Amino acid sequence: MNKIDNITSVYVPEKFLITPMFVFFIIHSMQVGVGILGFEGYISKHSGFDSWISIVIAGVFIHILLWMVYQALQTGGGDIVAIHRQCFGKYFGGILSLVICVYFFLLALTVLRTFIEVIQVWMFPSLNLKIFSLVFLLLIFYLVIGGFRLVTGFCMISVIMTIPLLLLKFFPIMVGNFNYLYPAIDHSIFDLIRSTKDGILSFLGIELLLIFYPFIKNPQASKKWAHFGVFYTVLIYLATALTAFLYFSEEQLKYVTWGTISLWKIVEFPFIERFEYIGIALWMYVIVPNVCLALWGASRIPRRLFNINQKITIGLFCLALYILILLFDDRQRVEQLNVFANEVGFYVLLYIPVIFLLSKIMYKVRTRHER
Amino acid sequence: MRGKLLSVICLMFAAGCNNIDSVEDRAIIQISGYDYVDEGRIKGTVGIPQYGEESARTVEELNLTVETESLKEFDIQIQNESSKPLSMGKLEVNLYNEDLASRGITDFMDILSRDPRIGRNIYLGIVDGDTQKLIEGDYNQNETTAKYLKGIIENNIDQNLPKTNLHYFLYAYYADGLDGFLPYLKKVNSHIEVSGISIFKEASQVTVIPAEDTLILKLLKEKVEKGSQTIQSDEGVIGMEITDSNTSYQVKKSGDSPRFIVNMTIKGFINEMKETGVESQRSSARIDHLEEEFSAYYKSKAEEMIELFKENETDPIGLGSLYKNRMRNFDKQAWEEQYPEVPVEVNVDLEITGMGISL
Repeated sequence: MNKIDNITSVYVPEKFLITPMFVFFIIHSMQVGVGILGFEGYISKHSGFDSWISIVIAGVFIHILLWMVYQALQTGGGDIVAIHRQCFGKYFGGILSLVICVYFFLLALTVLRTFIEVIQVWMFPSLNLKIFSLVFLLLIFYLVIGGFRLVTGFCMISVIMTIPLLLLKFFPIMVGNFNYLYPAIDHSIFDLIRSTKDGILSFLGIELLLIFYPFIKNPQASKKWAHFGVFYTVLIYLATALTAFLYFSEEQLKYVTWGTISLWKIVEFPFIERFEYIGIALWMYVIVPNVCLALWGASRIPRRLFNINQKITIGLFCLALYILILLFDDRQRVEQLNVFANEVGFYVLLYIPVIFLLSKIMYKVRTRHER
Repeated sequence: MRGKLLSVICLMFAAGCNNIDSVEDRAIIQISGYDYVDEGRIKGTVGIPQYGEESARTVEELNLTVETESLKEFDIQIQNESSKPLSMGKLEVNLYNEDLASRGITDFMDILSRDPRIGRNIYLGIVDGDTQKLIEGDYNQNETTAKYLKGIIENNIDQNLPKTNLHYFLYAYYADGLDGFLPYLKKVNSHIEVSGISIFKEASQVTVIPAEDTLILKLLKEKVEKGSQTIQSDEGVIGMEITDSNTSYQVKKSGDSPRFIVNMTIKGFINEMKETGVESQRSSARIDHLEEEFSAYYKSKAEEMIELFKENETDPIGLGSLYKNRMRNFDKQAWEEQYPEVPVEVNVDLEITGMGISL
């Protein structure tokens, strides 16, 4: 299918390719990041305990968008840069690709800065931001420079490492109150959609497929794994949200900034008093691949556009991340950054159907011309 | 290889990004309590365990007391009195005296829910009398007051006291149509007892349930697997041990006003019978009679308690929350007006499964 127009399709040597199954891990670890630590508060703002429906709605949307991404990539010849070049020409298309690049950079920044914020609030209020983020970024630089396959491997480790954390939901469920979680749907569809929009940052991540698609060995076979990945994310979000709704009262949720971490507070083991410290430390394994993927995506676009050595762009982006992290130095700004990234992410998701339609039209037009 | 070295160096640096205090260098607060002094002034007391030499195996407690105008100032002043930096991470019990509780503990709740160092399974309590005296008291238990008090509350939760800790209280405190309650503690000579449950409306105490009725609230709130109650019947004093219970709520709506039906099923056995001349016989008629008597007792007590809550416009059972979650278009204001007159029907289905091992 995608061999129709060989001029624009992207060639990647086989030694850099990944097996289709790994798409599951990539999609999942790109989607789950800092969002899950506090999304219960966001989504229930408009529709209270009924907002679990919003998660299902968001999940369905993401599945449809994922299908569109695959369709667009198959007919469009490789990745987003190629599609843009075909549809909008060299210059305007290039600018649009750069916008996507900036968007991935923004994602990396948001996730990293928010996680450091979590560490500052929950564990070390007097953390030395300069040194800590420098060390953190060196680690990320080291991983990303290792290439896409290395990052993929890390994604798999991260997904497997965090499965045991799900078992800890047991503790809040034991404490929780089932009496107040009756499915009497009390909110309008409009409220539910608003909640969906608020929680969408937690579902962002499938756009990365627009870039790493050429790296999949057998793209057709990877489709089902990508859908599995999204499905798994939706399941985890549903479980997390329902646990939080059992554990917190509806009005209490509005006062809780980090719902999931607060849940860990009730976890009690004889050998550890405060589980949230271990939970946050383990969450490093979720954050690192998340940032790495976003950064890799951001650095891949300039390479495709200008043929710059990717190592240089990674270095530059890391430096930019470092400076920006130091600039966002208080809670309000981090909050604003999150709101902004959420907004941008929402529009990028809306942009996916546009790409889908454009690539379909281009395909039609081209085949007619060839006849 | 160079990359590996780099990552190892990274890890080493990451570990050094924060100051580390060792346990010995910190004063670990296990218990804190606040007393009302006068308008705008509170007195706070903290208890810090001082562990002696290993051979001596004694635990002493250092108590610091400070009188301040606000909670913020309290934090600063108490640090002034301490020779080591105070740490709140191991706080286990937090007490308020009754005067303070009836004036509202909103500020304290805000701090407890905001501070990430505070756990969610710490116990709160209301003290009948002076909190400072209770904390400073000597209880001959070779353990700190905090541990002693924690033990008392935990043991009572296993018996007749409804489940309580910071989390449960915050849950109720923030929720619409649900109010919290805390154990009501009293120092009696050289020990402490749970002498009831203090019932809150939002952040202020409105009434106290006596110790003998705590089981009724527990039955209304949760599943009871171990609870005992004695009643005075025409046959003498009879004690019953509850082994299993279940309470379900139904909300019926007729027109604008809701109606609640509470169905309680209780299983238990008789463990105490002070004879008053009646023949002690294991007859089914007798068991039926006892079952009737106990059901009538629980029914009237539960209804009385709900009446008491309605009079005080507080709702620890969470009828408002149930109504809100099961029926659409909940109007908080309308509900609050309706609440004192809302009809609640209590049905008790009681089964006595045994009479012990002697006649």
